[in-house]
Amino acid sequence: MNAIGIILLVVGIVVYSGVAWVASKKSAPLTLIGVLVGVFLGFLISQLAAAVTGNGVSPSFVFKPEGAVNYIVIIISTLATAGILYGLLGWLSSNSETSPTVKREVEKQKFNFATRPAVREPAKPMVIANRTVVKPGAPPVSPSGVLAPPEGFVPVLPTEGVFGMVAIPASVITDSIPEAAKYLEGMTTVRVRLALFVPQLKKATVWLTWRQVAMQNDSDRATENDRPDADLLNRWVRVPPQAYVAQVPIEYFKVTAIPPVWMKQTPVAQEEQFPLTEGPL
Amino acid sequence: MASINYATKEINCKLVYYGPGMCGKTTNLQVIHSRLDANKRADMVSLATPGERTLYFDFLPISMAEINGFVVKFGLYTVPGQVMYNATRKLVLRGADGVVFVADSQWRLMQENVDSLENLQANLAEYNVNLNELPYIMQYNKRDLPEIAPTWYMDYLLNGRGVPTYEACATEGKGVFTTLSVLCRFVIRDLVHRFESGSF
Repeated sequence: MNAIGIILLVVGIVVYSGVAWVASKKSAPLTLIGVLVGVFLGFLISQLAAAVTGNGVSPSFVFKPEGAVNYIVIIISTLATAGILYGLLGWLSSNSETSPTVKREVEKQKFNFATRPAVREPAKPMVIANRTVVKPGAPPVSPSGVLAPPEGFVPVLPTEGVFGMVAIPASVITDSIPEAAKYLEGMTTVRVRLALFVPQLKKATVWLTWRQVAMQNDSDRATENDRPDADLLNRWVRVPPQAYVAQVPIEYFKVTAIPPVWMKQTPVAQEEQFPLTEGPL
Repeated sequence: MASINYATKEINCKLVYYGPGMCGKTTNLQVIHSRLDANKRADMVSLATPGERTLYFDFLPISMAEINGFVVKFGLYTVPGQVMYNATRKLVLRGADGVVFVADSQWRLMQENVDSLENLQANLAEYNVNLNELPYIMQYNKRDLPEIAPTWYMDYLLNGRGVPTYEACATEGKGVFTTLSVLCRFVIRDLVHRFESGSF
């Protein structure tokens, strides 16, 4: 091996060790392997250089057997270099995007079949819940998208002996049956028989078919063409309590309270420990 | 049913705040927790969803009374009001000694109040308990909001037994302690009578 060979050997060791170190970044075993590979490849390059220049102990192109060895060395060193470059590219790409293995590990940490303990947090002492004006739950809607009374609702018959009318806003009907709007043009209220409300007062929300609603208002219609078709008349109208309560005579809301047994018990001395004051006990 | 611990000389009672979703049950407990002397209550435990809705229950233990040398401790519970959590409501209701039915006074929630009261009765019936036998009172909450129903109408809908009713604005703390105090009185009264009659 001549001087050029030695220089190339050193350069080879430095270059390949550096590449291997960058590729293995902070991994001691890989760095060691990189250094060893670098030493080996540096040696092979020096051999190749000696063969090419004709200097040194093994001018491969002069002596056929040694030349063959040098060709093999060239092939091996090329493959080794390609291997290191492939590793380097892999490392660079793993930095830009999480590798599948790492991804799976992260997923494992995120999702765990093990039972999770309930989170018990002492309530913050002075924080009172923010109150919002709550919208009531959506009214029941049938599979066809048409408003319908709750399951098990039995259509009511008018109570006998009850007379009088309740005027509900026309918007109550159009809220339930938007298609009814064209039949209610110019009407602000629609009159409905009180007898239809009475049996449903305890339930707060009153359900009527539009046919029941329209019954009292049909006489005002000029022609048969003004009347909605049967399907529309069978649709349900949901009347919220605020639309009718003020118009129902108060006597219908009177109840004879039957106090429960525990209310009839005589007071005891021990209960005086709870003062009936607005402040904290 | 109250439980008695003779070793520690304690009587433990369970009071449940029941009502439709977002009617102010948890707020009642938060007010009680924040205003009650620290030596009369422990920390409040809440199992809530991220949206501040009660998921399982809230629990606030307080001790404020004494009967014949026994300290009476009240465990205050709330139930999740949403319709879908009925199994949880039923579970929390088990063994209750008293109930506060918190009704939302807004017109638009009258139907929910009625449904919730029916649900309370149905759930109690599964434990063979009737509201005629269990001390309970009504709290008409959110009285400060616009568009609220008059109390006579709420009485008509919800209070066929004529139990005590209290108007409240839980966010401001109004009516919260009166409601609690009255229920505690009824529970203690019921307890003492059951002791005396030997039915405890």
